[in-house]
Formats: sequence, structure tokens, C-alpha cells
Amino acid sequence: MASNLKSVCRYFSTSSRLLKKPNIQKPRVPWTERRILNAVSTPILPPDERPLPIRCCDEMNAKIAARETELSQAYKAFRKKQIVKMFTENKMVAICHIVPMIPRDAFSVRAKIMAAQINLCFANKKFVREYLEESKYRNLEPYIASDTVYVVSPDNKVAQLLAVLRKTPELQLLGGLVEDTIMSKEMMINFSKMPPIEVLQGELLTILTSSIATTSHLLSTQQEQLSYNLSQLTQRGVEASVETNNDEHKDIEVKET
Amino acid sequence: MAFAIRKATTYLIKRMHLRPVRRVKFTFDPYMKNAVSIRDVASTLHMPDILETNQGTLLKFDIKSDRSEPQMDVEFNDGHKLIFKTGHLTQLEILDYLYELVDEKDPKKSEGPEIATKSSKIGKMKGKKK
Repeated sequence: MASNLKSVCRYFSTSSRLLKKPNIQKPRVPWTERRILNAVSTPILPPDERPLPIRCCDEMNAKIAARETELSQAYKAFRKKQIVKMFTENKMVAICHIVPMIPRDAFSVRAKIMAAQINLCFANKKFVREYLEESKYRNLEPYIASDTVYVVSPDNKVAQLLAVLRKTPELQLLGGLVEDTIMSKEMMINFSKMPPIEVLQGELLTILTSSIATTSHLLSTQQEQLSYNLSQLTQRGVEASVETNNDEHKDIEVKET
Repeated sequence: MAFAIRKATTYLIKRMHLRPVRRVKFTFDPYMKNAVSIRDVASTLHMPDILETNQGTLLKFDIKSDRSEPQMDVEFNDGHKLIFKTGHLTQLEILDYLYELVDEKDPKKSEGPEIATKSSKIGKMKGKKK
């Protein structure tokens, strides 16, 4: 009975005065030798030079660490894995600023994006930053602030993305990652205006072949000219010799007559 | 964010309104690290509760890629224009300055609070029944 009462009292009361008197006695001052021993044995630690916010958060961090369970850790690992997957498996990862909206609007925005066969991903800023710090996309870090959302696609669909985002003012394009290249908004717009890669490769091929043709032409023209001149010269020489022979024959005939 | 700052920010967000505001334009380069505060403020002003206070307000984004400083242009209904250069300001500071001005120009400020009389209450009840 007494134990029950004790537990109930402990549950409902904020002080322990109901059961016993509080001990307000000051601790006794230890004798001199003991005090000397205490003074000598207390360690002299170097001053804590960490910034104040970190020093103050020590206790809080310890509490958070104690609160973490296996399940929560597994969930965090899963989320991190998803972020890695998002950046590695997709060719296009556009980072957008999202404004708060009512669920109905959010649904319509998602529907518009899904209609263009592009996916909308949400990720924890902290986890994304952790991943980016270690990866080669470290320069994407400034974009990851405030409310960000990721529009991803396994193929390069920048033009479709821009067409969709033009109709959705709730999402503002900031920049992104297209085919392993970090791009700003302006760069993405310019990229979308470019023709497909096959056409560009064809153009490059024509430019390369034309340059080769011109160089070969420039190299060979002088030789051709020289050979032409020489052939002309030899022809003239032959003609001249033939003419002189003819003249000699004529002279001989005249003399004979 | 420190607890006190968070509390002050929520206090301002709860009281914020856009009644005297005609247009707000957010200009920033997201690649700059000092653009975080303006992005936070943009998110705050887009909150449905704040937008409902004046549905005629135009909120516009101008995202640049030229390393320009973040800037917030506010145009009031009386033609007064306000420019916030938010490079060195926090979200709380911007909201604080904005709330001060918005509250000063509030058209509802001169009006007294609605007095809840017995008849008005009954009227409301009847309206609900229908």
C-alpha cells in the first residue's frame, strides 16, 4: 500500500516533500589533508576552444544519440541510399525552389510533372549535403538551402521540364545536374534550345572533314601548279624543237634546189 | 536555429499580412550563399495564410545566374517602393522590417475590432443552419 502511494505521489507531484523532509544541510568541509589531496588530484584540463553553440549542444547531442533506435538508423540509411540513387541513376536532376501550398495545389503540381514523365523527389537537406560533400558534385551545395525539391529523369528532358515549369509558378528552377554537368538556370535554358546530339555530331564531322579538305587542297595546289607549269614548259620545248627541225629541213630543201 | 530566433520568427509569421502590398519581387542568384535568407522570406510570404490576406498581391521570382546580390523589391498600394538588399540580413531581420512597414500602412488598422453582439451571433447561427 505504502509503495503504491509512493509511486502515485512520485507520478503526480513535482517535489519529494510529501514523503520526507528535504536535506538542506550544507556538505561538511573535509579536513585539510583531504582538501589538499582533492586540490592536487583534480585534473587541469586545457580550455575548451570550441565555438559556444557546439559547446552548448553537447548535452542535447548526447540526448539525441541516446534516443536513436535501430529502426530510426535503418530509416536514415534508407533515405541516404535513395539520395545516392537519385544522383547516380538519373541523367537529369533539376533543383527547384518550392513554395508552400495547400495539398490540392501540391497534388496538381505533382500531376503536371508526372504527366511529362518526370519524377518529383523530396530529400532531407542534411543528408543531401552529407552526400554532396563526399561526391564529385560538391559544387551543387549552394543550391541546397531553404525549401528545395528535385525534379529527376533518367533521360535528358530539359526542354519538357522547362515547358512544365513555365506553367507551374510554385516551382522555381535554380539549377541542376544534366549529364554530369552542373548547370545554372540560364545554362539549362540554353541547353534546351540546342539541337539533339546526333545533329551536333554530324555538324562536327562536316566541320572536321571540310578543314581536312581545305588543308589538303592548300598543300597540293602549289605542287599541282608546278607540275602543270613544268608540263607546259616541256610541251613548249618539244614544240620548239619540232619547229627548229622543220626549219632546218626547209633550209636544206632550199639549198638543194 | 536558436530557439529564441525561431520563436520570434514564428511570432512575426503569425502576424504578417500583405494588405497594403501590391507587388513583391525576389531577385537573387541561388548560387550565392547569402541568398538563403531571401529564399526563406519568399517561402514565408508564399504561405497560404499570408497570401489569403490580400489575393491581389503579385509575388514574382527573378532568378539570375550572374552572381548578383539578392534583392527584394516591395511595392505598396500607395505607390511607395521599398528595396531590401538582403545580402547581410537574416530572415528574421527582413520580416521584422517588412512587418513594421506593412503594419504602419495597414488599411484595417484605423478600423475598430468587430464587436460581437448577441444579434450578430444569432444571425451567424441562422446562416449556418441554412
